[in-house]
Amino acid sequence: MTKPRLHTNAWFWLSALTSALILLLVLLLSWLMLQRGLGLFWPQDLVQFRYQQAGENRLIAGEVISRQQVSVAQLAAAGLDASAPAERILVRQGYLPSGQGGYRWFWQAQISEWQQPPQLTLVREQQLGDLYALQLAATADGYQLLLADGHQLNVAANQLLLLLPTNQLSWPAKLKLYLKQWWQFLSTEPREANSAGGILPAIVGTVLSVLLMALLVAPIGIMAGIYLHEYARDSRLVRLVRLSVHNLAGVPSVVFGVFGLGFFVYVLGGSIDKLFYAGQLPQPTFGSPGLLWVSLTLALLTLPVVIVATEEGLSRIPQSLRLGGYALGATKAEVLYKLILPQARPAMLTGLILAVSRAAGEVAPLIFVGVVKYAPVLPVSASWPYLHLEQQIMTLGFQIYDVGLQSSNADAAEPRVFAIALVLLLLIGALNLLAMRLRRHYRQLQQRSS
Amino acid sequence: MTRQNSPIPAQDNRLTTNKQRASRRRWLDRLWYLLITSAGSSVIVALLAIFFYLGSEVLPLFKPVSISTPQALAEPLPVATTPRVVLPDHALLPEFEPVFVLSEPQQRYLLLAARHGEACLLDRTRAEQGCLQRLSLTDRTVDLTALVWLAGQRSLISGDSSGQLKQWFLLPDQQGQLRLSWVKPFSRRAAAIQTIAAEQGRSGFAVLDSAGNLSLFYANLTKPLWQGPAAVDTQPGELHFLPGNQRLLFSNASGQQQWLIDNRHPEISWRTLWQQVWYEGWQQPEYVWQTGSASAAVQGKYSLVPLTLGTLKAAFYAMLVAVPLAVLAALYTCCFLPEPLRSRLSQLIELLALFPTVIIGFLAAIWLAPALEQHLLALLCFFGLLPLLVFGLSWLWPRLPLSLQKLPGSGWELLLLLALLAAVGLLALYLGHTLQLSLFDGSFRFWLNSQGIDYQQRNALLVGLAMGLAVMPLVYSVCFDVMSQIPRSLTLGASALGATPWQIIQRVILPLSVPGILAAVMLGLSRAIGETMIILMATGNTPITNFNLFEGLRSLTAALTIELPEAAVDSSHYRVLFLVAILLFVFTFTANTLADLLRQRLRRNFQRLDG
Repeated sequence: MTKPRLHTNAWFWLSALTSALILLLVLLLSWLMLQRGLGLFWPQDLVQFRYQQAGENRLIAGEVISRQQVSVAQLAAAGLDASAPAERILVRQGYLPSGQGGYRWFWQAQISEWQQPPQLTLVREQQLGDLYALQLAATADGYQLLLADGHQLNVAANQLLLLLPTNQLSWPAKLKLYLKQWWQFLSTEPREANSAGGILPAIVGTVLSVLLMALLVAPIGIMAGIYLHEYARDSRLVRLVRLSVHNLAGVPSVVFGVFGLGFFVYVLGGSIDKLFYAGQLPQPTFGSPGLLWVSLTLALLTLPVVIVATEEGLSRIPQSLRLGGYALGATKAEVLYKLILPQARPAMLTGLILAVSRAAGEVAPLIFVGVVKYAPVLPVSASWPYLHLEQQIMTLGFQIYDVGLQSSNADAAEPRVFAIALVLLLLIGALNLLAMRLRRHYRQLQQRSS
Repeated sequence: MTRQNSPIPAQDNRLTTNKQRASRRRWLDRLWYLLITSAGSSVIVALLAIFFYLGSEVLPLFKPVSISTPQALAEPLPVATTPRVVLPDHALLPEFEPVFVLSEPQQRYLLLAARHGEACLLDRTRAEQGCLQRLSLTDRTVDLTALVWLAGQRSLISGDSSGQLKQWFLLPDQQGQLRLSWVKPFSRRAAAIQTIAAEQGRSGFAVLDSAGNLSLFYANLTKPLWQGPAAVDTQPGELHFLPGNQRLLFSNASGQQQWLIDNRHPEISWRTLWQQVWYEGWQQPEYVWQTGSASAAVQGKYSLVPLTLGTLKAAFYAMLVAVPLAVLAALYTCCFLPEPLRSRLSQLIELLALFPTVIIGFLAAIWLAPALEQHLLALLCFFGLLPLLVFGLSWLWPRLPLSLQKLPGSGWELLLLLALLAAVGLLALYLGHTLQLSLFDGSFRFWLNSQGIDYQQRNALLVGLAMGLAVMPLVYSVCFDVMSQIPRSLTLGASALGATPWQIIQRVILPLSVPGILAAVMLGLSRAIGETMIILMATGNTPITNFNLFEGLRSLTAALTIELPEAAVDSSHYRVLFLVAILLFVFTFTANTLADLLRQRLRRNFQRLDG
């Protein structure tokens, strides 16, 4: 009797639909990230067509990036003849000596002679970037290209990064190329104001700052956690302190960034400069944003997470273990580091990994303390002191913000940002998966021992 | 071997090593204790010190002005006097005897004022036409005793013999004609005003009255920042600020005296931060956040009202999206889903919290913003179709054959609903598109604009949706936690007494978890208020004061992120931004603490109910 009654209730269906809606959103979000992020490096078919509009008659060669329906009102607002909705396509034309290259929208109605000739070739050159060559002739030291605007161009072989007749490629060849492009994306430096090339410095910056943060936060956070749980007496003050430390985790990260800039960079960094780098003043060494301050700020930000995780891990360990240790005559320290800590280690590790994953996606506080859109050199080098703590760094999160919203070449930057976001997401996802594995493993161990 | 040969010394030996080892162990124990205690407590002290450090940066903003006792100067300092303005031909204004002659920065207009306060605004290029505007700066019964420009030369301060101080703006009216208009009085001085000195580069001024009292004012505030006896001789003289505004000079026939003034941030007070201020060159008092102007003559405008409203606006819309989604989903997963599916789904939703907010902000700005602009009507249609779907299902389902009704509870239900929702979504897209074409000339957005509703591409609706999605997992997980902690004895008891599942939810689960839901909402709100990247990317970051769904906003966090890297260290701007950080800190900290206390109490209640 109860079941049918439940299913006549509109609230039940509303709650069920809400859950389904969230599920749908999750699916949509994942699909969007995967489709856009993974699609970037798949070799697209190259097209060639003639475009005739208002006295303009040109041959265009390139890749179709996107298509769009434009409504009548939008056409009217743009000051165009608006009798019916029109379709337009965004084409990537690459570099042209006439200066008409780059990304451009073309009205579908004005396009004729649409074809995909097999000899059309994508050429990537060191200085000029991508070119779409109609014809290709080998010369003594390189190639002679015929471009869509009728210009001839000579390209030296040693300046050539890529030579790709995409339309001739078979499926496996495309896949191989795709993987190669991904590898290049992950392992090279950016070019053309972050709108081309790879993201190696951002990956290095993210990993390095987060590792340094883990090194800083692990001992401090764990000691504070042990102190709070094992040594501090259970007074009202300690309860208050515990409550506030827990709630520091909810304080907006940007506030920690403000503290990082004011205290770490200006006060701490300024004093370090005065003490050790007085010769270089007024040129600041540590008194300006840099890697060390990024890591310290991140450490501060994630300290509550680690403390809470440590305390939680310690509180799960049965009291009987401690009492047994004391009964055998062990001191408190011995009980702690021989009995309790080995048991609580996975929980602490989980907390640390979660802290790292939170730090990896953090952007806002780091804008103040040392993350920049472009850092010319990596903070690691092969010569002493190997790690340059005072250097400014790039991170994946900031790249998403900066390339995504502030880039001058938005059409080129946007697909890249999806790829960067995917990389960041995979990094964070992997870290969390690891934490989840650890926690499950730990629970199973506990169940077996109890 | 040796032990067997001579057992007694060996025994002794072992005793001493045992004793040594015991003392070493005790020593180690103490060391360990000291290490952990000192490290732990210092970390905690350091964490809590963040608040005090931020406070120490802000405190100078509210420090009262202090002035030293006057010191006589042995050597007179040269004082920069304003160049004398050349009067136009006096015959043009026969009945006028100007005492004060002031010229505006472009040197085109002249302001002449006579002894009783009659004033005349004169266009130098058309002097033959006479005064553009005639007005009285006093109420005619008293004498005008002082008239000075404030820095920037856009507003005037007048003082008269009754001790009255007034501010006047030189503003163009609707015809573009420059006019002098009365703005506000300052609090009255006890005696006649003797002399007024304007600060350099900012809008403060010092006033000396004939009773020998000195007062310091700032143009935005009617009350003086400081007042007290000047302790100068009564001979009339002039006041001057020296560059930097740290020294005030009084010079008369008998010599010079100076005061050292500590008045670093006169433009900031609780009043200017939270109330409407009439800034120089504005038509009326307003809440304005406008910083970082290149010219020093333009006042910095630090009203926190637009930023706070922006934050609240974004948080409000985000909560409007997040709370219903989270609470309903928690109810469904907790009460109706069978076990393996239940934890899967809750894990999946909590996985959403892992999305870095910068990615959500990017998607909102780049993907959702244009899509929303194009399909706004479809979104409205979707929300219109949703109740239809809900009521349709609740009507249709019980009428289906029993074999089909067996589906629910096995997870098929969710899949079915997913497909239904997707279908409804597509239908809404189609409907929106057709409606748009037939009713709104192909674009709802342009229609909205033509109706006078300003639609910006990056608006509060977008932020609400994106941030709602970001906050939802947090609210959900707290709600889910609370609902699954409700003792089973209660729900089982209700069921045994014949309550239907929905009655159990209505009478047992919901009332019991209301404090928990409240805690979840508070946590979500504090998260939404502290959220930075989504707001930064998905709004236009314009500091405006309204709650329009289709306009942008600028939040406290976004202002911090954009402006702090550019603010000069220890300037008023820098310190106000620190104040913003403190506000965020205090608010989120309080909200989180309250939520935490609520949850703790709830947990205790449940334990008691459970017996």
